[in-house]
Amino acid sequence: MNMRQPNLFVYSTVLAVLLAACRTAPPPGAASAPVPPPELLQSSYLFEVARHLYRWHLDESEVESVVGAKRSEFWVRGLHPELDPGDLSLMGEILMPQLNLSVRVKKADYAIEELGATVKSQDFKIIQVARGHVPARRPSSCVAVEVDFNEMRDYLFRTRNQQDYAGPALLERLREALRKQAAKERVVATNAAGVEQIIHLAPLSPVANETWVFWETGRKLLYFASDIDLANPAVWEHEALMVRIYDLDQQVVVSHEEAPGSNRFLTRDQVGRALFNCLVFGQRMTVMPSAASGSGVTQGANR
Amino acid sequence: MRFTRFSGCKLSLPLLAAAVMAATAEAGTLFARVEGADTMPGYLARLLINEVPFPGERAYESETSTKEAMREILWVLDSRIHRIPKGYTQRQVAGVRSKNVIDVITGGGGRRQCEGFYQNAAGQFVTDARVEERLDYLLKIANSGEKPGRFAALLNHGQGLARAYAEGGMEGADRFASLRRVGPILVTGHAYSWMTDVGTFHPGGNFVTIPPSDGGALGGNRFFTLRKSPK
Repeated sequence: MNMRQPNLFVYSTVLAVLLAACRTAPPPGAASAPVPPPELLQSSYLFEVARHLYRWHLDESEVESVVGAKRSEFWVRGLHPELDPGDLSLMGEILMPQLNLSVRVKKADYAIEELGATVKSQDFKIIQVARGHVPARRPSSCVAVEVDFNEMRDYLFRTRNQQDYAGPALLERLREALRKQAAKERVVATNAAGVEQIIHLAPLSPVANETWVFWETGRKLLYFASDIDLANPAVWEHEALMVRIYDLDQQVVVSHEEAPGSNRFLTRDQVGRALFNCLVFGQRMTVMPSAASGSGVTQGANR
Repeated sequence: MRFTRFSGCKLSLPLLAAAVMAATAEAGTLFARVEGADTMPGYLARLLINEVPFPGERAYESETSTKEAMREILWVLDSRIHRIPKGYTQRQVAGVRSKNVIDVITGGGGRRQCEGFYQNAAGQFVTDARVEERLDYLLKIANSGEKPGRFAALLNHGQGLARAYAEGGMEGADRFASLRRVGPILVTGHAYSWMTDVGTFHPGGNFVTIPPSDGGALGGNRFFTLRKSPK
């Protein structure tokens, strides 16, 4: 179920207006530079990328650093790494110089022969966000896209609480994945078989194949990510390939300075952001360890 | 009927021939294998395989990119043993003091270095169940079908690297060896840490993110070098 559907027309209209406000400029002296995929230049797409960053990456100081700007600038380019034979995936990069952020995106389109499966995304999805590496000047390979800053700020403000929920099929797959995990971990939090498990699923992003789940009774954060769209049933046939689990009692530090070089820990800030999205915006679900048992879903129950 | 003795068993020649053929067919479908976790090459191979994306996983780019990421992870481990920069101690960089790559993988003092790889209470080097679960799944995929594909190639590459390292140390070039500057920051060269490229994680301390333009985002991981002058 997608709770946004009643508002889709409104958002589409707003984005159409924003698209009209969007300006693109060719890279200076780079007439031969490859043109990025057109989807990446659409303001509707860039606004969704900005909304994803706003929810999952930006902090107060970064937002404050761009207040007062009249235009928001995106530098967009296609990326062309050497792919496997037959891989038709498209990749691109969106640089946000005012925030010193760069975002890599991918529209997957390849086959996995061993599985007889096709990995094909409908849209470009974020595969990487990096801070601090945007050059001072626009690279010649980039096309500049400018949008009205106030329009974007208003859009982000208006949609800051927007919740894009998983549909029933995806919820059921997540529930099944959690059941399996609870069985593997022997329901450590409750130390009792058959006890109802409570989980909170963060809102989904239309521009990322990833989501966080807070397993309240297990005291763990689960991070699901894939090259395949999460809504695609095929991805759940291979869930062993897509989940990372963080134990909140063992793997949280205030600062990575406490365990330099280790890739094991999340910081309290990172966990806090994930929990905020899971608890405040998320779907609360109850899962009985036995598949035959009942379960329930409450959306935004904690707000 | 003639019999021949084979490993203490009596087999007829036709039966032996059939057994050999069956064994060959079975071996023919085993396109990839990984040594046991209780061996150094097997344990190291598990780490290399665990830390990189396979087809279908987030941030998978290509077979080449995933193989390069394995090699760079191995370089990180080796650099943590043999290339501690001037001004640093091994403990500051690697969290342990040891010449043993297994110690460098597992870390010490409760500060594990690589998620899923640790020393248990009995002092054995072990992996989390989900590391084995994923490996088993990858092996199952790799050994399905009629011919070896990318899964088999990647698994065998990881195991091959680990075995070669166990026998003779590092070969080939470290792509980050000559890195001397990241933006305004002077750095030591080589990579000394990596993290799954999720969010904007950072390993802290004197680690400096190697930017994408220098190849620092590789195979679903972000690699980090060190400040030339420690803070």
